[in-house]
Amino acid sequence: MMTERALERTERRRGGRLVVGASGHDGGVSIGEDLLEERRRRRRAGDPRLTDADRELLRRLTTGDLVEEFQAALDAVSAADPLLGGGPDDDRDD
Amino acid sequence: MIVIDEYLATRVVSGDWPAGLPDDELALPASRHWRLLQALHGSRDGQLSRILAALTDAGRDGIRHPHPEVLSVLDPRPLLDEAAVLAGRLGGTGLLVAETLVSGLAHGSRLFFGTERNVGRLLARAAGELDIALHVAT
Repeated sequence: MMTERALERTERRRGGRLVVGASGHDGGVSIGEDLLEERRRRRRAGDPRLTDADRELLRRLTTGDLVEEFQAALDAVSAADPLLGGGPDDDRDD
Repeated sequence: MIVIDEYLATRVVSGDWPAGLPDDELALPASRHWRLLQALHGSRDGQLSRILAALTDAGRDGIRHPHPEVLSVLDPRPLLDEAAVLAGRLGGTGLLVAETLVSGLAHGSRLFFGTERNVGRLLARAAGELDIALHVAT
């Protein structure tokens, strides 16, 4: 159970940003901003499990010499699956 | 959160973030993940399946089970009813188009594609009627 003192600490933290750095509200970087930036960096870096060769192959599929094969495979899945496809008049996304 | 297509999903998994893609969390509709998985697991006679066979197990896992910090797959259950309504109004379009459209409606009325070829005429027309902004990020 939370003590009265712990509750007071919690309220103070909720009232303002938890800030690191000497300048505090005058220019310190909040922990929240730090965490968001780290999350953003990891998101943009892609899946860390992939090898360089994996990354290169996926790049060729989406922006390189294998784009035609990639689109053809996606279209073929839609064409072969009546639940996924269907539709009255479209020739690719149905 | 931004709803994206198979091209952009594959690009961001590989760490190739397009310049035109806003910096936000990304989500792929389940039916579009299904298309990717079908291509991945399809017959080895298929050209793309043969190409994808060159991926390492980790590379295949990047498509099969996207890393949660990179890409989410949208839960289709909360979207299905609206997708069915939309499919009926569009004359019986399939799940791919209907789910993509309601996903876009639910997440900022916008959709991002990696190439115009992957949009399709029906989706483009319906997006216009629904005021969903279509973007191509290259």
